[in-house]
Amino acid sequence: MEDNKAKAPAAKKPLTDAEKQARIAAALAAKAEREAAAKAAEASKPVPEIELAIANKIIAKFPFLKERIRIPREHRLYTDAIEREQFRPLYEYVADELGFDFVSTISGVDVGDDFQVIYHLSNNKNGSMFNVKVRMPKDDAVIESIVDKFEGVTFYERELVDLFGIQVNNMPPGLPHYPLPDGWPADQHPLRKDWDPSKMDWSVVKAEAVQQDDAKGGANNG
Amino acid sequence: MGRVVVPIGTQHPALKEPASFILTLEGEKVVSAKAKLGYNHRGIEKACENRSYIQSLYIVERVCGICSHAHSTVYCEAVEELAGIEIPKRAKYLRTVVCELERLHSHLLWLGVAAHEIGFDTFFMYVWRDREKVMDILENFCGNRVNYGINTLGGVRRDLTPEIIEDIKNLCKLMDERLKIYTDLAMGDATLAARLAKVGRLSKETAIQYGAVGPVARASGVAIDVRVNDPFAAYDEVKANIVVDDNCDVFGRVLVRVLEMVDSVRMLRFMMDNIPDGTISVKVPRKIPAGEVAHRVEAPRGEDAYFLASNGTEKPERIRMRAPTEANWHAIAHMLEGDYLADSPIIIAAIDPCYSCTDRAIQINDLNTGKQDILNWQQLKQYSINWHRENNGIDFAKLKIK
Repeated sequence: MEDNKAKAPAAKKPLTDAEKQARIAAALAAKAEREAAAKAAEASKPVPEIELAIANKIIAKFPFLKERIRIPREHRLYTDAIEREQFRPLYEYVADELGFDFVSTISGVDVGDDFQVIYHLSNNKNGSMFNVKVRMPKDDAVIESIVDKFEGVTFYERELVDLFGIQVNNMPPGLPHYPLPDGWPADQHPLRKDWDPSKMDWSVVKAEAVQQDDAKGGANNG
Repeated sequence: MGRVVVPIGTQHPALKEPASFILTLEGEKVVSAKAKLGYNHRGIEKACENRSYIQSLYIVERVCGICSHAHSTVYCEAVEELAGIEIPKRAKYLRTVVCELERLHSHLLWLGVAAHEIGFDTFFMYVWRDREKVMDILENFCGNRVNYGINTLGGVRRDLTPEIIEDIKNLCKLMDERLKIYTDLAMGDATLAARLAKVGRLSKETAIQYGAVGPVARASGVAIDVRVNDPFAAYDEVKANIVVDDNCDVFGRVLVRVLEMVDSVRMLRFMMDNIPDGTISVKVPRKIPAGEVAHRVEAPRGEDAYFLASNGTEKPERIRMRAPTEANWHAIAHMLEGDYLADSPIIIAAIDPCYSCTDRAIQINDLNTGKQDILNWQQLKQYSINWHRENNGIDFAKLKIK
């Protein structure tokens, strides 16, 4: 116990400026060394063959993707951001010809002036996942639905509509809100970075009985 | 014939996947089914953006109560990939051990629920008794029964002790014995087959088209399993077998899950004998380098896909989560169409949503007479059991398990 007491004040003694500088320099040197090692490891890593072959096929067909496909590890391909018009032909090609026919999910990202929509296309035979990033300006956030090609995407596209306020054309008609509640204000999109919950009028989304519109439709049929 | 619209489901505040189905009936047959979701959207993706990577881990683990380990595994592996960190091999094996224990308990839970839904409560009791053995081991090993808290960024938090290894080996012995009984029952019992075969049909083409995942897809003959196609954790060394079945109905989904449990036991036994020595975690920096990672794992219910974007700070820029049930909801409306109302409980239960989520009021609205009946899930289940007893002579009360 006495030893501890004796040591405690000594540890609190402030560092001199020279000591501080020395520590900062040491930390910076260590960081630079780590980064250099990571870069060297990255460069020496072999590029997986299957994915490289896939990327080459895609680039042969779509030259604008030259040097814009990253293969950080086995089973993963990422594109840099492409334009909206470029997506559909690319998707049709990889789905029909290269087996990326399963849409794992669709992610939206708010990056300041732009929205990015990332389609995670999976080939479930060889386990590769091709992540296609599509960019669009925020003031013209409109994309085309791909539900006519893969029916399992309706929920993912509806998330883009509700949470980001991206307009998705040609979705199946008559779908309710998802995942936000009925009666949620049309101009509030929670996953936008500038969304501020404190500025929202919460009284409009308070719980109330949901009208069963479909029940009425059934009555007309019957 | 007049059509009757049956809305099933509304909000249930306590549970994770409350969903609503609006069934239109013609007589007793379902002619159209619509799914409505989002009643319990908790804003987890947004919440994670305001928290550090390690804080987000605890939120991510709470996305799902049953496959919490799948969510924390996919999240940890995505962060580790962004940080450029390779975790120790022993940690990968320990994650895999919990993955398989979780699959065992989740499938046993589902088997019990399915038995309960069709009125086979004896079987339900047997299965859930065995599930407790798995839960005990999870609790001994991880410290928790459901949100295990075993994963951390850079590895796992607890190591296997010789006692727990012995426990798991004993569990494997017990499971061999029990799963043999369940396999014989699932494959050979005429009553069970009569109740489940040709119910909730989903053809291979439709399963692919609607993007079904996990046991639902595999029971329709689609050979997808992330453990095999795109190995994570230690699945590159601990080889899983894809269990595929061509029945394309609820009966097939039972078979697939029972046989997957047999495979899980085999893998657990392999891991107990072959787990490498070494440390169980490495340090992960607080700031994660900028970058993007898409990752997926095989949860008990199917592919669990995450997308993680980092901006180089201590907090993630964006986490996108897609749990397996979200992929399977697309197919369920299709499965309900053309089947009897009496089969709807087992069809909905067969995709393995959180069972308690389906425990809610049902309003039957007869549009011809304007008469309204409100049934709860218990009553609908009882209706289903009585309907099959009267129409098909199926009565599980007469069935004995050896």
